[in-house]
Amino acid sequence: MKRVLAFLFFIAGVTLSVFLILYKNRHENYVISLREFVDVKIKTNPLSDDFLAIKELNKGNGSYAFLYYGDDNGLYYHNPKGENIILNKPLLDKYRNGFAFVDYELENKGLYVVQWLRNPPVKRIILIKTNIDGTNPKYVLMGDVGEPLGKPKIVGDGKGNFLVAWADESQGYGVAYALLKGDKVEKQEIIRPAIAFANLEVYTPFYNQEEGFMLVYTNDKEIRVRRISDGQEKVLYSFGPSGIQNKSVHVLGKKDRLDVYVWSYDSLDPYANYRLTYLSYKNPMAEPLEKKEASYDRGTPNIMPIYDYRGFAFFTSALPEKNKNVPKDEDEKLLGKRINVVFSAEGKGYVRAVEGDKFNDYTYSQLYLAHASTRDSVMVVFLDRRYILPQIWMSYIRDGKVVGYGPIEKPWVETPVFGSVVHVKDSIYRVYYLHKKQDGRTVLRAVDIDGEKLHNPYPYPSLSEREKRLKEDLERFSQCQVKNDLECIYSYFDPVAQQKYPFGTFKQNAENFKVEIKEYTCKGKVLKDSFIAWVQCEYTYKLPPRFMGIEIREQDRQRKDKSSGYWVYIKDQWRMVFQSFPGMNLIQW
Amino acid sequence: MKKKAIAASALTAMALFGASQQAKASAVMVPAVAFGGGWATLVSIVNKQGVNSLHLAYNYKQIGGPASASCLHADGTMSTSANDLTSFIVDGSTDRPVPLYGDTGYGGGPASFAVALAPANIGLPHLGFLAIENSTSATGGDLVAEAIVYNLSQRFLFSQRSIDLNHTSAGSATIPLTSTLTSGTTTTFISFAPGDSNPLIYAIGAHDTTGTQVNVFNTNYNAVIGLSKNNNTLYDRKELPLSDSASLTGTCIVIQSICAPQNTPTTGLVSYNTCYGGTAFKNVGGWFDLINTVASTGTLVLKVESNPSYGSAVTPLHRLDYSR
Repeated sequence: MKRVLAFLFFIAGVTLSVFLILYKNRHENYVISLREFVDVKIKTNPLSDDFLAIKELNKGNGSYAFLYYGDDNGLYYHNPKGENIILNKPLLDKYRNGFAFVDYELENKGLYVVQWLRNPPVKRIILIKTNIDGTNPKYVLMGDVGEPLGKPKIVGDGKGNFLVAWADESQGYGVAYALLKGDKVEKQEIIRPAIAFANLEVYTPFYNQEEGFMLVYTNDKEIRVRRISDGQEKVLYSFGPSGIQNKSVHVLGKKDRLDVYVWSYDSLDPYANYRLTYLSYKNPMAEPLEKKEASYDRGTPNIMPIYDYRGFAFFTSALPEKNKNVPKDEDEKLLGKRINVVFSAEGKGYVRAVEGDKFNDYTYSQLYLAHASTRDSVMVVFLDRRYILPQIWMSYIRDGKVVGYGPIEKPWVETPVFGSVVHVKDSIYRVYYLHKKQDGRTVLRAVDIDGEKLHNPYPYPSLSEREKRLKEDLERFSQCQVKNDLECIYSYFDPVAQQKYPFGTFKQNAENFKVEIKEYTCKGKVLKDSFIAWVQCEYTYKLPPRFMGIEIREQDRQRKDKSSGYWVYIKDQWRMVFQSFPGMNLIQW
Repeated sequence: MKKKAIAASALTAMALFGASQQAKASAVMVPAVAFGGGWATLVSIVNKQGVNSLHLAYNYKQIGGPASASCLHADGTMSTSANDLTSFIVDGSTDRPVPLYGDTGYGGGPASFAVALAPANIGLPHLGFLAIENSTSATGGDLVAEAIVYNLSQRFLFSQRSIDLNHTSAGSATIPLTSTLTSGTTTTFISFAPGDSNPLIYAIGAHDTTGTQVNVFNTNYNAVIGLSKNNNTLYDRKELPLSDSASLTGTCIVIQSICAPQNTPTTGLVSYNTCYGGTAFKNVGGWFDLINTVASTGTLVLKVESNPSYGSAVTPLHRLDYSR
């Protein structure tokens, strides 16, 4: 008996130790889980409209669900069981391509998906009806009144009725809608409010119990809502004398809460005055629950409003405050402009997605990709080029403050421009992104990130290490130029250039050049604490007597010249930034 | 004066390259001459007829500097003779050709250029255009030119052939009227860019100080260029209409990517968000109408397609009429 007890205690002790080890690792690591979808053949270079995660079915217990366009142009559904089911096979077989966009409504285990087909002369909106398992998808065609133009959007009333809306250009520009019972079209109509295409970016189908289905749309004067049952309309917002010019309008929500953001600007100047008007409705046919105005001293014409957050909040891009964006010296001038993804909530000033970062505080160049939120927190996913090669970074914001930010991959592992986020539970968000394999192929991945633990765990070489390395690399590069060691010279080109200027072409051009380099020397300086350097070279060379078929005078053949340009530090080496045209760098940051 | 006839094979080679013209051009323009910052240009001129003196004029500016900077100018004359083949290298240190085959003197013109090619910082890249004409006769002469722009450190080069100009009198070579983008007129820009290749707009402000004729030789170095998309609409190759408000301004010479770079997302002719952030324009290309937004300026717009995998090409977007 004693032995049994001792054994049991031993097992308990081992189990407890294992648990503590795992817990400690978990505590330091913000990646809770990682899933790679090897069988998902998503199309190459997918755009944000080619993928849609199904919020309701993404759960922490290993349940993943999303809609995506495959590399065969088919629309696929990855169900929670892990199967990839094609939803539009008969249409794909018949039309081959011309499909775009996707939206869905999940209702009582039924999954209703809409997409767009434009394969002239066929131009239709398609509704596909299936279920959570993706069995037996059936489609119905809509939009036979004309030409669908913009992405279709769908909302349901929970009782098997749906409203689908899209932009239409069959009889001038308009917004079209179809009312469906299940998958049977009951009514279709085009509202013709638009004077120019710019008015057609906003149309939102909406439902609430009181009024039933409604459609929010814009014309060049105002934002209007129409109650579908009787056609009654109401103006939500008037644009004023300048109309919809210099404004960006966003209407969000499907049921119960409708948020309207009107973002106005006087000019495209990043330091112009930008203004926000925010309206929130429970019932857009009645008075708004909230109306707020806010003003900003900088920004860009686009904002990405956040829907689930308490109060009004959005992302945009911005330069540093005007007085902080004046270059203090030549180095800062050469480093150029710094664009950040910024967050603003409830009219307060901008907060950078990488707020508080002092290391490499010079180059930002961030591009917003996606976000998801709860009432209290937001996870934003963006493309960051502070380390030159584009990488997806994440930033977790809670109660208006940046809690942490960090990269999704190791340093200098390039991440393609694609991202999608859904909230899983508490501070855990799921980020879908494309992982680039060694052989260049990309594969879809999903990582569950605990925002509270998010940070950057990777070290980067110190400034003195980078300076030392620059001197060594420039020395070697110069020697290789004189020796005409083509492989060596090529190894110093930036990776974007190497991708687009294959070694074979470079070698061919070099051989056609038949140039003899007599002397070549370079000196360079790392700009501030960044991964960018400014390098000046001087060289003496001799051209052949005939260059690309053109004869050159003997006296003109020996020449002396100099150059200045950028070098960048990538993957432990400095590299020359290649120009594909005078003054135009291939790699951008 | 010693003359040497061009070997027939050399002329044939130039014809195959595309240098043969349907009409006689007594004035031509090499649209993009680059020097400095590691770049240099080898220019070759063939004088197919008995012209004795050529007038060369450069308008250029530093690339990467402010778009509002004026152009710099250099011009002068050189002597030539029938069937003369001349080549010279533009790298900021030499700006005028010396005949290959023994012609001496400078056709009666000054011994050196009136204003020398003298950029402030030769280490930085400069870009401009070179106009070449028969400097003594109004309509006589038949010129053809080609140029090879090269970057030594990169072993990278691209070539281009000259554009014909209207030549009504000496010192008055104009871009054919039907092709000049005057205020309010449009030209259609089409770009079918393979993925990651970002074509460039290269525009030359082409009006003289009187504003009455578009004289390439007397081009106002402060000529303001303003280009905008007509109603800010554009279409990608999937027939998807897109819209944004990016436009382009500069002085004398302007070169800009179609897609705005990420770090200044509102420069370029299509804003960064519309080009990259969820639309297909960058990857598949599309078209839009460009209009000149500056009154009293003529603008010549050229499209540069630059992709290292296949090289670069400079193409006028305007229809250029040949005239006899």
